[in-house]
Amino acid sequence: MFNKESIIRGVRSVAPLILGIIPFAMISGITAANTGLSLGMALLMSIGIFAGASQLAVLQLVSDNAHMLVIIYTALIINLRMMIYSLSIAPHLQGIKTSLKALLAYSMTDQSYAISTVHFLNNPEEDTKSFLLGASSTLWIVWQVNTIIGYLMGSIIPPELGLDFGIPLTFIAILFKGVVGWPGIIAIITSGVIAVAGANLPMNIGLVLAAIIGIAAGSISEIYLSRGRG
Amino acid sequence: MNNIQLILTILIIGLGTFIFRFSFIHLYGRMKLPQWVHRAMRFVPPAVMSALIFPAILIKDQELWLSYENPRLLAGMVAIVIAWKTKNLLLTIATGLGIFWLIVFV
Repeated sequence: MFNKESIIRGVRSVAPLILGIIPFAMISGITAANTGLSLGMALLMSIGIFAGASQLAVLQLVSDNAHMLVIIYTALIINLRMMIYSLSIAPHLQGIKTSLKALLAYSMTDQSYAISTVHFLNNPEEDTKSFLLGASSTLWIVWQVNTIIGYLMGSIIPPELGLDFGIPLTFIAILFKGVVGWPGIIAIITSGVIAVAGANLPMNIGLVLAAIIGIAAGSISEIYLSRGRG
Repeated sequence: MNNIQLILTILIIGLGTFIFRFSFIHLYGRMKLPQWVHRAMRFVPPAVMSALIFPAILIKDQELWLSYENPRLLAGMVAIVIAWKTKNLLLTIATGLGIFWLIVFV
């Protein structure tokens, strides 16, 4: 039922990103150890949530003694973007069993989502479930293994290494992969400016606002530019 | 926060995040999406990636750090140019990390 070549293509497509993800997973393990979590609890978090930025926010808030509801709310707002990913990738994942949809949904990350949807648009014949499974499971394994390594080596790694810089770098690497001409550039600039301007808005709402307005700016400029041409 | 509360917190966040990821993949066949949604979806990757990148390289301790002394900004801008010109993932990440560490440690 799975296509082996498609799985391998999925694995290969995310392989270069591992260089940026390893340091971030290690940061996540280190921070869990420094916050006083047991290794079991750190793994419950990295397997149960499997979304790095929100995990780090949770750890920060736990060490700040924040209220449980604030922690839940903040993490969910950070992960709200996954709903847009779900809508965007949905057309490519139809006609498969619900249990497989659930597995592919659970393991989907920023990176595997972005790489896969762009690949599917350029390769309509691809076996989408196999490709996404290859991409997501690779990153899942890398994430869990390096979370454990980070947890165990925590105290040896100096914080000034700035290991968390790896993740924005993986996003930069895939930033232009799916860009559709000038409207894509306009979406990037609009979203980036709003995200920076709204970075201190309460409860991380700036990220969601930036994404929505950036998507709208891209769409509107595409309509406008194609009219001007035609 | 005790262990039971922490486990509960993790499980609720995990479940909520799963529901976000699963939502439209599951519902898709049961609804007809208008044309503008299909158009908009192609702009999701660049818009969301951008919203994640720029605060990460420009904001430090909740303040805008727009200076050549900001190593994340310098390394990030070089990485953006490389990503744009070459579309090479590994080269982008390796150069970005290399420049960042060069600035921080030299």
